[in-house]
Amino acid sequence: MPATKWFGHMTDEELVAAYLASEDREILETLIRRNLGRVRRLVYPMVLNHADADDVVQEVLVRVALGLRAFRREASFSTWLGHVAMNTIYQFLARRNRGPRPGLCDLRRLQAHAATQPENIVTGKELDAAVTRALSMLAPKLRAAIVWTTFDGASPAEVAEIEGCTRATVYWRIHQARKALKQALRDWLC
Amino acid sequence: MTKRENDSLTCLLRRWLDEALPSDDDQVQLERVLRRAAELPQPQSPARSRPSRRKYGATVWLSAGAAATVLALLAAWMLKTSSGTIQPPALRREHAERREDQTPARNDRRPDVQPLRPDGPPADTALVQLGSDELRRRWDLLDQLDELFGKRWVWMVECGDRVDMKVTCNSISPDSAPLAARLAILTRQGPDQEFRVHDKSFILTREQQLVEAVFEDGAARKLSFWVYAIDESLYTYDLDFVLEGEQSLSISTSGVLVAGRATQIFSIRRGQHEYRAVLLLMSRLRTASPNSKRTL
Repeated sequence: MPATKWFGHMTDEELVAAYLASEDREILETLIRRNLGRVRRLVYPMVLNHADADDVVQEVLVRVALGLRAFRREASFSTWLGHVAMNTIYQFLARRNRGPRPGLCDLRRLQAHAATQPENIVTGKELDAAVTRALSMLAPKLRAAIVWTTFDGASPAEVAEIEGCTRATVYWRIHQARKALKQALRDWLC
Repeated sequence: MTKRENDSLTCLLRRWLDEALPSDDDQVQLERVLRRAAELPQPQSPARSRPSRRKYGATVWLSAGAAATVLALLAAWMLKTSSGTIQPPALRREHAERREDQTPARNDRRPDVQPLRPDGPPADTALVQLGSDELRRRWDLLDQLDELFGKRWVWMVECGDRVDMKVTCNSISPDSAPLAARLAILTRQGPDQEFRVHDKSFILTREQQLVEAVFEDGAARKLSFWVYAIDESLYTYDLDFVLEGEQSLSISTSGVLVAGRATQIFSIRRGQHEYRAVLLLMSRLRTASPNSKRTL
């Protein structure tokens, strides 16, 4: 794409500054294209549903596009994008959680249920079903700790900044989440 | 984190995500985003990058005040129509049914007056509720802790006649709002028997602070508890509880709770004995005004 050729060497912060100065749609496209994959890797493991993930990814990126003027450069663009993404995800989950959700707490029962579903056995998607169910059993904050550190590669210090909590809390959430996931996925782990 | 980067759980999760995510619809999604961004009006004021309830402006506080007033009025109405003790929906419905004969004309205006459904909330959660006087005493205790230790007290757990608490050298963040919780273990010896309280603990804590209390005399108990507010009334929690003794019990669970609503979070049957754990969480925010203090 021409936009990538022109602006590919610029950092995200430089792209934001250039976009605010020129309102050039190609710059915005470059910025969004560059971060689309990352946002998708943050959103999908949190909402665990492709249709919802598509909606939330779009919502996040629209908010980013419309809110670029609010980006004050006190933090990196990456951190700011993380704030926007997680706020959007939490709002979505809160809306979705207001309805009844079966078996939020019972890891063992749901793991057993997932493993015995005929469609999962037949289609060979047992791992997908097992991980999806294990993640869905985690409280959103615990799931987010795993998403940030395992899928996004963020450090606990960065997660603490994005989530607005202490580093100790992040460590504790990671520990709790991993403990629960190891229990739920023990049959899949070496 | 380094040692975790390539452990089997991390590899498994990353492999799962790589397989789960589609890789070919970037362009379609990109176009959708750009089209929606172009269609929507530009915001008049900069969007807030990280909204925090306690950092909202006057508008939100006014809204919160209005909501609190409505809650206070609702709670006052509930007090007036009940005996002064907070009751779960099931008991309120029972009382409402008893009132039906006396005030038939009002039934149309009370949509919650319905026959108790067989699959309705278990009535035993009533054992966990806090009466208004007891709740007021707890909040008074919280005020005294604030007075004595400022923002340095982290949690306090009361279990039988034992109390454990944690005070730190540094102040806790003012964003970490105080919360009260009651965890009760209920038991009965058969399906025909009434539930009774087997063990109960009362916890004063703050959001996002890890409670770790250990009581070793008598029936030993270990409690780990952590709470985070999703919004004004919805909380996610993580709880590990071990009760040792003749009837040992181990609970490890997490989930979402509505503040003020006793919720069954665990149940187990051993022969004829049935055990249930019920958790009730209360937020100070919902009882902050003097009028509403006694009503949650």
